[in-house]
Amino acid sequence: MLLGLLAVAATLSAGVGLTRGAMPVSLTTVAEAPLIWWSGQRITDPGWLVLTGIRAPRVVLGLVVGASLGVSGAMMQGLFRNPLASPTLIGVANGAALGAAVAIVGLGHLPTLPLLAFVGAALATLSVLRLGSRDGVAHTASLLLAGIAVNAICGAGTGLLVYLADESELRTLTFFTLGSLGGATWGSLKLWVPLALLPVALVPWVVQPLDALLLGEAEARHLGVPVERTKRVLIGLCCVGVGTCVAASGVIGFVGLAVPHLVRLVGGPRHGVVLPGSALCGAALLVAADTLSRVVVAPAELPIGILTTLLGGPFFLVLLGRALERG
Amino acid sequence: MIGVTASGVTVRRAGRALVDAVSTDFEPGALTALLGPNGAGKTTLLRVLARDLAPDTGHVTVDGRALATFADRDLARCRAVLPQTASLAFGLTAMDVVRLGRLPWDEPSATTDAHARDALRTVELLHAADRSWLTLSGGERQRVQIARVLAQIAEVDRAVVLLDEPTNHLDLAHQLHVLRLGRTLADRGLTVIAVLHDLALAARVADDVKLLVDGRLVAEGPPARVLDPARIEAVFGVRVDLVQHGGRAIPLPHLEPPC
Repeated sequence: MLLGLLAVAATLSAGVGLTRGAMPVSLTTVAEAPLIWWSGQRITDPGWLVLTGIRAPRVVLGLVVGASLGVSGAMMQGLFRNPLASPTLIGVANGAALGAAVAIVGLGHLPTLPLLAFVGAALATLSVLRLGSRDGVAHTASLLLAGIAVNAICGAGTGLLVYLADESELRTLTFFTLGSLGGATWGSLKLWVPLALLPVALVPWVVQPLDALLLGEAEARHLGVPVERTKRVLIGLCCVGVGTCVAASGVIGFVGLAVPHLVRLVGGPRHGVVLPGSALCGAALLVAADTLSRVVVAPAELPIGILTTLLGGPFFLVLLGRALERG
Repeated sequence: MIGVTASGVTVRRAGRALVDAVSTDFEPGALTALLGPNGAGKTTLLRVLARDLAPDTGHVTVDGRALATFADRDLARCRAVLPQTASLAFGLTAMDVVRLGRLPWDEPSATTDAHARDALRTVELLHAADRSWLTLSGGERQRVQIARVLAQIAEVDRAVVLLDEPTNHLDLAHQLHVLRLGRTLADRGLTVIAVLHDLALAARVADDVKLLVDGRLVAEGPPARVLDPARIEAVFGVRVDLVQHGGRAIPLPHLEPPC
């Protein structure tokens, strides 16, 4: 029921995203698009070119990134048994930002940005996992502390590069940390989509372990869940998924944190609902936010990270207030 | 029927032996009570038996097989654990929590529901099946966890049930109810091992008592033999009288400290 509604919302959001923007495209064009594409006709109508060349890949990237961030956030909150957890906790975002800063300022070579951002995310996550483990056992509290330390170190590294950067590099870097889906092309999507969707694709296999983890790590083990392996798999999935998202579209805040909450508020905490719900809800919200970012200051666009954080921040505060009220 | 054997089990933390060379057998079809003052190592020993902790030396066998060699899933089908304290970060319903007890079993969802409902009925919480964990009282939470344990080993007659202070948070009626449940499980042939604090309750329900002091096993056997007033005074620093009740000798403590 909830999942059906969210699927409809994601479809609507994609529809609106395809038609709205600096140059409106009619819904008929959108509806006819698959047929025309199939028939192999070549059309030079500007609306058509905007739709297929710019807007469609952008909407696809938005759906994929939103789904991936939503699912990864839900996985981290389940793993850490903490409603305030998000993929940023394990260093993904700050590691990626540091990688991006190295590409922009250190190398002055923009094409390496996605690669270095991904490498930064992976290295940060691996060091968190390494520092947070002893004798092959990853302790949740140690992971959190290691995450805080690694995040701070990455932040300081980025800060150093920011200090060294010139005006234009600074601008590029700033926009990277605010996120944008503007870079989407069909060519780049071939790489981003499978990697970003990895956590989404493996959802069916982690629903039960995550539900069991809600009881506690020892309790999950008593129920036959291989807890250490599950932790590694989940952190690995989030690293690949979120690392790819950040490499493809910069740092987009609060989706991973707020979306799973939204789903949980309506559908309850069971992961059979929370995980697919977060994928659909994340996809719907991110495409909607992207559309908004293109429309409000058209023909320019607002960085999407500003919008998601501006909307997500107050929402998060309300949640926090509620949690405090409940004790 | 599966027995559990501990051989020379020692757990050291920060140079101190929390469990010190404990060797003993836990009989199938019996309710064994682990007794001892605070810090005696009861919970640590239980955690070793549950495979939460690997002993520094010594080993545990279940049904003659080394505990360390069991696959997680296989162990989960013949060993259930009630934790001392349970916490949930998110508000699953009571029913959801109990359903999780069926995780080790591949079965249709309807079977899981049936087992979960049975277990909730047994702890007299069927009416609260749809309530969120966050709204349950401490005693209700404890009973939901007990129901989860019951669901995990429903219809199993070869299993070890480890209960860490199962009477925690429970009112008198439910304390007795839970101990009767433990009795029923033992009568079904299961190996029931419970950490208990109340000597009187232990004397009433246990078949076998193991008394731990400073990590060492100092006495074991039927409660009537282990729980004599002189030993209780030496171990717990409390004077007791034995009161005959229901065919058993129940230790009742004096209020005043011994001179």
